[in-house]
Amino acid sequence: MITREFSGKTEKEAIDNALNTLKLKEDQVKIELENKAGIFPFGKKNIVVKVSYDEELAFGNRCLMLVRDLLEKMNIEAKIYLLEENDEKVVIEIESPDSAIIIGKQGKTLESLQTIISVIMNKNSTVWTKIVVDIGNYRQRREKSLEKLAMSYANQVKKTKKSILLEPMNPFERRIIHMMLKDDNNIDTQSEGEGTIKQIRILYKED
Amino acid sequence: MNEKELVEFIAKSLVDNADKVQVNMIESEKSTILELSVDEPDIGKIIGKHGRIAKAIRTILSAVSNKSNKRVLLDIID
Repeated sequence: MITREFSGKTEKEAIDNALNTLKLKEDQVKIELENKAGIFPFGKKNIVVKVSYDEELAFGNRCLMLVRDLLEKMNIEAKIYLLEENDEKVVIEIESPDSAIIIGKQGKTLESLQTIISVIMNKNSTVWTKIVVDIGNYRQRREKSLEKLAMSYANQVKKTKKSILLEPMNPFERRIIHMMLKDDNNIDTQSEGEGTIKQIRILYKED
Repeated sequence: MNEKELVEFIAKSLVDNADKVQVNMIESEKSTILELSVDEPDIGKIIGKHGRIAKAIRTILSAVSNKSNKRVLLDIID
């Protein structure tokens, strides 16, 4: 069993906070009131509840199970590891001989898997926990290659003073490019297009 | 590879009313059409903002069906 404490202004708020953070239903946990409301009606600011639940129901573990089940249904052989788990973020690493299928063209399949898993796991909760699904350090490698790409395009723009429009990218990828070039005094970046997949334009500006 | 089971699994995990999830498979020589229907209040959960979730399901489907050289189409019935 895992036991954690959650607080709120009222007992209900403390319990809601616990259930939204843990993404569990009330019948999956045992709730104990830490300091009874009413004994000290004034002065006590927060109500604390102790929430206990089975280790198997821990959020990270349930994410792991979902990835495993999903890949099994996709007929893909894989080993799955939980690399990081806290209330804000869960990181899952996949190891598989079929990694090319899991990643897909420009990482689109991996992105889709992450979207589906995030939406399923955060369903009906008011607290959104970010879930990162990675495979063979794909994201880290992609990040490095995007940084290189950004630098080489920026140099080209500075030479020719003409803007360049990059290939369509998702928000995660665009952020890397914007961040990489934001301190360059001769370069401006802006996103063009509609929806989540936009294109970045790299422009020249006078210092 | 059973695409029908895969769609059923994803849809049931996404919706509130898993009992109302239904997938019909229509097979022809070159393609497979999967007709997905869910409880009406759950339709938004399957489609998502700007069709983001439906698109993700289709991407996953095409990734696994590439192996079999057969097009798999997903129809969401409302």
